[in-house]
Amino acid sequence: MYSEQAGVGTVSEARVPEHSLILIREWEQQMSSSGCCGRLEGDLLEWGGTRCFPERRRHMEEAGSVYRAFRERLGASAEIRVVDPRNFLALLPTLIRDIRRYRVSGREAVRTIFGLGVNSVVLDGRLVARGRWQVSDLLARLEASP
Amino acid sequence: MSAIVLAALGLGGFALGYVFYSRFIADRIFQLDPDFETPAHAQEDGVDFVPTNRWVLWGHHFTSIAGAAPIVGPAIGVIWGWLPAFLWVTVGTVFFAGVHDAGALWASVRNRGESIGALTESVVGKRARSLFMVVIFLLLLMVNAVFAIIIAQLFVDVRSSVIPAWFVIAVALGIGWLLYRRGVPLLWPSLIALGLLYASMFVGAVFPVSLPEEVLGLQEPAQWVLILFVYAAIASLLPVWVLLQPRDYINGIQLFVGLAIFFMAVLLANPTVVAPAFNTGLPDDVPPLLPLLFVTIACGAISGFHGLVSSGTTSKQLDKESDVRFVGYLGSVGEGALALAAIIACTAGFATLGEWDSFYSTFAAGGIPAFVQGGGAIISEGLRLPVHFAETLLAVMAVLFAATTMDTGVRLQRYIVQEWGVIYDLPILTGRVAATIIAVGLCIALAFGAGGGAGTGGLMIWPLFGTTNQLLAGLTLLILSVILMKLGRPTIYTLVPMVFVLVMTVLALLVQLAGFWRQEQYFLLVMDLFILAAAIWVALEALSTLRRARMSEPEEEVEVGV
Repeated sequence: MYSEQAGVGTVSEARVPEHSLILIREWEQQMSSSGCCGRLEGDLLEWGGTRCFPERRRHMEEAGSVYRAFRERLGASAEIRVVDPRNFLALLPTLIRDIRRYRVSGREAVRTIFGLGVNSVVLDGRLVARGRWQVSDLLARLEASP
Repeated sequence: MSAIVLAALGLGGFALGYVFYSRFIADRIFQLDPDFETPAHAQEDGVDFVPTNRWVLWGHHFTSIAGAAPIVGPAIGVIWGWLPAFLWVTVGTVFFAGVHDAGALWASVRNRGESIGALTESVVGKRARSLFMVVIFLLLLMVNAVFAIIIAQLFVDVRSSVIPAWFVIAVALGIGWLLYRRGVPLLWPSLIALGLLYASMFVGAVFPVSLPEEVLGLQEPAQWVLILFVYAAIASLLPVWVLLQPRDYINGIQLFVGLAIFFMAVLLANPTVVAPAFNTGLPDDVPPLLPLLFVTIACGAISGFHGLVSSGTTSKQLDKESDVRFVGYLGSVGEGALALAAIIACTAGFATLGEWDSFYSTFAAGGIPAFVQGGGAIISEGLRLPVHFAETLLAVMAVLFAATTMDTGVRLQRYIVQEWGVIYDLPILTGRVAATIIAVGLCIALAFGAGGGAGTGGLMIWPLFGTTNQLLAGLTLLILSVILMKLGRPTIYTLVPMVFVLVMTVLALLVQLAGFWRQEQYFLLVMDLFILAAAIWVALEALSTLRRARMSEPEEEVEVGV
């Protein structure tokens, strides 16, 4: 069921949202590298006014624009998730779930899974963008989707 | 005893802890409210604050905390016997780590996603913030030194690991260029990289590498230590996308493949635990179990660094406050499971008690080499892989984690040195190269101060690392206790772990101080004194802050005014 909280719900399997957007982009932190000891995260991410992962930060902000634009356009009717591509445990199940829910063809599913980059957008189980994103292009893809 | 039985007992303990104790803590102490508007919702921006499904978030959180430390600690700690290590890991995870990790997450969520560092300043005071940075620097100093020594010893013990360990640097450089500059898809380069890495292990077995026995008075392990710090210095100066970021993918895949292989092998081989439950024939240089066990095994029982992770990214993604139990508590259980795997590898991977005894002939003899040999034997037995390949696989996995830690650790130390240069107006500290040289120089001094010209024996640093890590845990538990006290809720469930880790920390430091004095290890003695001073500082801050909190009126909201 969708919660009443503004904009976000956790969705039961029984009800497929009108649209599902998965923003795949890296969080501005280390993962899977050195465990909990000596890692770049949280308080240790900014030194002397400079971020440790400037490119990741830029991608986070680009993804944020897409996130907010889709949230504003679709509201609670859409499920919008952000998944770090290094989160192997969650990424593949999340993709497969949407591929099944939106009845994506086998060919399209393979294209999606094998075509994902470190910054990608998956809309209704289909890869629609990789690399630099343009919010307007993505919204146009949304309008064109079934 | 069958290793599967041991694993089942441990996992069963974790399950009981999650089902009963975590529910009690969540409902009665933290009083998690599923309707509380978490920062992910209140500050939702799609950038830092993003409500995230708890399964996805658990994966994110666990992948962030898994690493080499829950392997090293238990691999050393079983020298006292498997039972004390097993009990500390299971009891520590259930009653200490779970509360600590979940509590850090809860405290951050209730304070707009602020980090433990920021909360420390708010709750304890500005002095504590400085203490926090000193503790971090000491931790980095020790972890860099220890990991350099561990890797060096692995290169000597498992010579087939040398080629793949260095080859992966080339692979990482290629991955980095492909992913971040060419924007190619993620999956096939990652799979190819993994394939190349495993292929290089076969090459490594055919062409084992060894350095000259002695160069300028330095034995082979010491030579490797120097080479590794040169690598770490160079790597830490490179832009992060070049080497550090690609290692995330390689290490992550390695971790899960390695764990899957190991656990599968345990199920198929069903090895027997040959190590004694209590080791009554301890080598002469082994310090007393009490208190050293509790600082030798930190990650996997309770680790202060986890508080940083909980209050870093995770707290900003929490969808519902009630997810604290699943993400925070169960995340620490995952770490406990890793530690359990290490215990099994180091106690059931040897054919006989005699073989185990001869391996654990000194305090510093265990650790990762024991994990590699024991785990390699289990994988070979269970999956019918050549034992040499299995050992190389585990050694390379450990080296990848440890080497990446060195890169990050030196980088962070450089940042801290540079920041001190700005704060104290010392221009010489502010240059990148100078600060790196200072950071690496201190690490090398510690590594050789502990191991001498042989570059061995540096695992004596590991308990010092553990004590410092536990100090951080003590700070976090102090914050939680203060918050609970201000809310008028029971504090015993955080105070007892806090007092325990602080008491064990101080006792361990005193025991080691005596040992370093007897062995004339003056460098380590000075380090010990520094950490002892920091521990006493934490204890005094704790007393002062708790007294202030007790005298204040109970509050309805937990916010601490960050």
